[in-house]
Amino acid sequence: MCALVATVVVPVAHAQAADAATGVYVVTFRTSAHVRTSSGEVFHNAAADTRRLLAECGVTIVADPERGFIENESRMSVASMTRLAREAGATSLLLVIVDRPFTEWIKITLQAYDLDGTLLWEDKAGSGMGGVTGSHGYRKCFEKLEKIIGERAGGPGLPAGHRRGSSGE
Amino acid sequence: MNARAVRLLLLVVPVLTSGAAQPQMLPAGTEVKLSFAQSLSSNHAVEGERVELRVAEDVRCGETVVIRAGSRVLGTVTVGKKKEKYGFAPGLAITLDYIVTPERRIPLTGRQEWTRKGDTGSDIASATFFGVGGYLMSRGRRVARVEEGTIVTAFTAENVPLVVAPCKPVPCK
Repeated sequence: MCALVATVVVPVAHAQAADAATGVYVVTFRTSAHVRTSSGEVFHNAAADTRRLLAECGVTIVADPERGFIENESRMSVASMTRLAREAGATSLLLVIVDRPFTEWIKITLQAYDLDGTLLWEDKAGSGMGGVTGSHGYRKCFEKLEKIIGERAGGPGLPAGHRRGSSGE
Repeated sequence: MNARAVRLLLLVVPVLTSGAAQPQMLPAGTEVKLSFAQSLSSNHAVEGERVELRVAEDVRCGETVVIRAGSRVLGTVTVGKKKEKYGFAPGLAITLDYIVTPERRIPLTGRQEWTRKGDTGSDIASATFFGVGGYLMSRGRRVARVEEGTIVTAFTAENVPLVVAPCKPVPCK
């Protein structure tokens, strides 16, 4: 009886666990240039908006059980980040780098890694120096980012469950 | 009769107390070697920020591994920048909070601090070319920095019971 239950239940439980574990672990890093010339509020807004865009494109985001989402200025190696991603049950890592180069209001770099630390792809969205204020640049940057995430969602590094809105949500 | 009962008690009680199994414990104050899983600098660390470390070596109680090497450890920056703005911190210090194991969080005690270090050559050069202002600017650029992989020591804050659960076979109906 036990053996029968084990043979029926265990594979189902494993399959459910594997489904639940599919997702991306997001770490957001702020460059020194952004610290020097922009504000912490812009950085945290950029991190939250990037996660919102990912969720809107149906990408499953795995939160860290201890810290939620890592957003900081201190450097961490890719090996350390992929280890955290693996422990959280994610299948890939997305590193979001928020920068403020001399020639742009804001620049966001996305780097997707598998759990072995191999870079799967990298994309950049910059605002340019158009407009009078930084908020115009911020909007422009996120328009570009939305396009990039829309194209990448469901591909390597950005496992997608279902697209929000497409199922009538 | 009473004397017999007392004698019986005197015989039985020591046997019972010696037979009562004391749960094995990793005592509070046990040294744990930790390794930084990220870099940290006084120019970037903000007070209250979480810090990632890993247990560097297995912690054993006899032959039993109580805390595995590689277990995640979290700390908190206690001395760093006050705000997430560009600026200089007076130094850098962290407290080591707890180890994350599959069974539980193991609280730690331990504080680590680093002083800002500068380059004497740069101080002299700045003072030579720009006078007192140059020297002060050079001093302002001093940084306390910790590289990823740096080993630090912490201590367990409380007794940790060894997770050796007795095997109870469940009857199969």
